[in-house]
Amino acid sequence: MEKRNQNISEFRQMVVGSVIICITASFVGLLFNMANPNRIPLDYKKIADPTATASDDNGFCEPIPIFSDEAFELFDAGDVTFFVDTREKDKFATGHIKGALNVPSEKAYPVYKSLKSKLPKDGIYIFYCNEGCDSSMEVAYFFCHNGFTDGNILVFEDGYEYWKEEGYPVE
Amino acid sequence: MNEKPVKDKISFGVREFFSLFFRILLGLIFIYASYSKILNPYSFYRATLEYELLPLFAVPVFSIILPWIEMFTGLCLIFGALYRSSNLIFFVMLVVFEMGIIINLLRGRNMDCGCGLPLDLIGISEKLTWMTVLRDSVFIFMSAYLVFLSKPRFTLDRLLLRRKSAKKLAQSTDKPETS
Repeated sequence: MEKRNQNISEFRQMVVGSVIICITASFVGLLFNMANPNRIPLDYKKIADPTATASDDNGFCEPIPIFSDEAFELFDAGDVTFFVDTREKDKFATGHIKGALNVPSEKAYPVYKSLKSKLPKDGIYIFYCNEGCDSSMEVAYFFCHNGFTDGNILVFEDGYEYWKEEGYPVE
Repeated sequence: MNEKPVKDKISFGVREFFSLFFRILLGLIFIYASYSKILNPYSFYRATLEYELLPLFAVPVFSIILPWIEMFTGLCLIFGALYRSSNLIFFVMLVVFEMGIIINLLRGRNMDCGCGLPLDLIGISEKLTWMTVLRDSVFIFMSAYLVFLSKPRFTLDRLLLRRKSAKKLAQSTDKPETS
């Protein structure tokens, strides 16, 4: 019994020590990052090209929210370079806006990297997910800060279900 | 006259040797790895993104904090400060890294390890392969040895403990005996 209590106490000490090390290291890391001229912004939306150094400046752009009728007008006129569906792969597979690319938020970087050469920087991109979700805005910010043109990064906030209900083209 | 002498001799056997060897080796490897990640934060940020295991918003914080945890833990391990705790952090970190590597190998990804080790200097590719898994398994073995079997010697913890007990002993001998 005494041995068991001793083991529990040792384990508790070990865990407390680990927490102390992690908290101290995190604190120092955050302070160092703040002082570093090549710092990484904590808010990823403020990161330009992740490959960029502090001396590079890709400018700043803001995604623009649009409604379904505006999105459809652009689609109908053939002005949209790509619709970007930021829902999970399985949801995308069950149906999406015609010609859309699937870029879930956690895959934004690798997909961007692999398609980089095929995506015109001055094209019009419309991002969407479900109604009320955040991932379309997240990925739109990511594209926005990777050199795409300010004003051409649009977010269709009504989402896929609304588009489908309106009877607009899906596949 | 018949009192046994206080055992103050430092015993140093095979277990103590491996504990010290693994501890210094792992500590140095992690300090080097963290140093290169701290110097090139964007490069580590990119590597973290490529693993596709964390949501986008968590990647910057993770890539800022992790190298410092590695650095602190490496230093603690080498100096033997919070010895057991630093071993535990190492062990958990290595297991998590190993899982991340295996997941990406099973996904069939051809990517850089992002481990921050100078492997290219000795002609070993930094690409993720099953050799990386094997290498990390060796590190996990060393770390597990330190957590579960090690006999810590030459640690700051022991030094402080000895001083504390010596002080206590001195205090108790200074006290007048009460009968």
